[in-house]
Amino acid sequence: MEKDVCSEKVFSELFKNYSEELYKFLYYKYGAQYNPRDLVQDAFSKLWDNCKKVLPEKARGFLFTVANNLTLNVISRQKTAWSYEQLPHSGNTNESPEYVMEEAEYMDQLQEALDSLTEEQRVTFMLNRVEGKKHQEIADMLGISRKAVEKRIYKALAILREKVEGL
Amino acid sequence: MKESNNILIEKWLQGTLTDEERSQLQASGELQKLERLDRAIQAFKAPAYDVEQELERALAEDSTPVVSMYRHVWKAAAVFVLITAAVVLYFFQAPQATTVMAEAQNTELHYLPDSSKVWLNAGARLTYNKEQWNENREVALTGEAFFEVRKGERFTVTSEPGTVEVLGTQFNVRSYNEYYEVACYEGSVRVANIENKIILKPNQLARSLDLAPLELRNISAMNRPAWIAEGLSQFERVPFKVVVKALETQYGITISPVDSNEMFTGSFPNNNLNVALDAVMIPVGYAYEIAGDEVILKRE
Repeated sequence: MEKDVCSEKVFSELFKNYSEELYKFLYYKYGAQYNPRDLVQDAFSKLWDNCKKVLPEKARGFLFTVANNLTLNVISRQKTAWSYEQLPHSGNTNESPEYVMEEAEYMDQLQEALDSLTEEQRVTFMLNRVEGKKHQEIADMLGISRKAVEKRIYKALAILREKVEGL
Repeated sequence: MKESNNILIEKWLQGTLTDEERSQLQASGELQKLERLDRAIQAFKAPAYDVEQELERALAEDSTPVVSMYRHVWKAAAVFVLITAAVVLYFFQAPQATTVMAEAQNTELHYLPDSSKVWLNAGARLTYNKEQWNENREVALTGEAFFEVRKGERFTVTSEPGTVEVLGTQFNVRSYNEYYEVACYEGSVRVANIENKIILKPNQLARSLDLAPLELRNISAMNRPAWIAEGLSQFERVPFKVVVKALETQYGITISPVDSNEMFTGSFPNNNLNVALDAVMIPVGYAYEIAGDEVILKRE
């Protein structure tokens, strides 16, 4: 392996390996409103600025820590609720108006419930249930134990259900 | 029924339900609810990420890498600091006092005479009197420590900016000169400084800067502070200079000049100085150079 990140080849390699993972981490943890794509760009640009100091095998840790702190510092200035990018919706359905209403309400409650999770619970839960990542993969990514991942997912599910089903 | 459902739900999450368990969960109506939630949650999936396109963007924005030119090792300075520390330590010890310290980049688990536990964070120092422990459970602390106190008589932690009194509980104390912070993890604790007193319940935190009145905040539920659980030092809206103090204590270095009055939110790892400095300095807009045990800051 090369000894630093200052070549375009190594940099591109790192980008291909980690940028999407970092993007998803930031998206689920903090939400679309903080522009996770741009935050990934910022983090990699910091990596490039500091390429002499960061060994390629330390780059992943560097990127996650720097991106996380960049985001936190934005948030401490403007805290808003977790939100997501709404996908374009086809207005054309065969469902009854009651059903559509009920669904919409369910989704509203679900979003509120997602917002009420802790950042750690949300990122863990979403990576598992939506991105299909295995418990062990998430544990490695977040640097916590597999048991802790399972606990968080279970807890997150319980909170979500309580909020949307009113159990 | 409820109990067994919980086990089934765990298995559902892990994808290890047998057919029989599946029909059991279905019969109770739970499976349908779980599957509905699972379907609905997919709407919150992160939009697709185009790695190639983003990489092009990153390369287009590139700048020439900053060339760092430093690494003078000021060994004499290091030796001086060590000797000073040793001398200071020697003279500050009361007779028969037991002192426990954690070195830079180390944490230390220490058992008190009644087998209460203390985890010391790097650079923390704890002093107490072993002989009088049964009459007087009192320790003096500088730096950061997490306490798991056995139930019993009053237990007191004194630091320069304040004191904590408890009966039996778990709590974390951070005292960096002008900054004082106590977080309660179990039971309840009473925190006092010269201005006021606050009683903390689990997941609450009291803090004060420059001996101002203690203020109460809620924190997210955790079993252990992040520095024990994850090897991270975490801060939420803490003055930048306090974070610098924490970095200095953690790594046994000095950092100067600090001219920022910003508040800092974020964390740094306790086992990698370069990553830690990047994590703290970059968001605040400092560049730095490391020269031995000294870190010199420059406005970017």
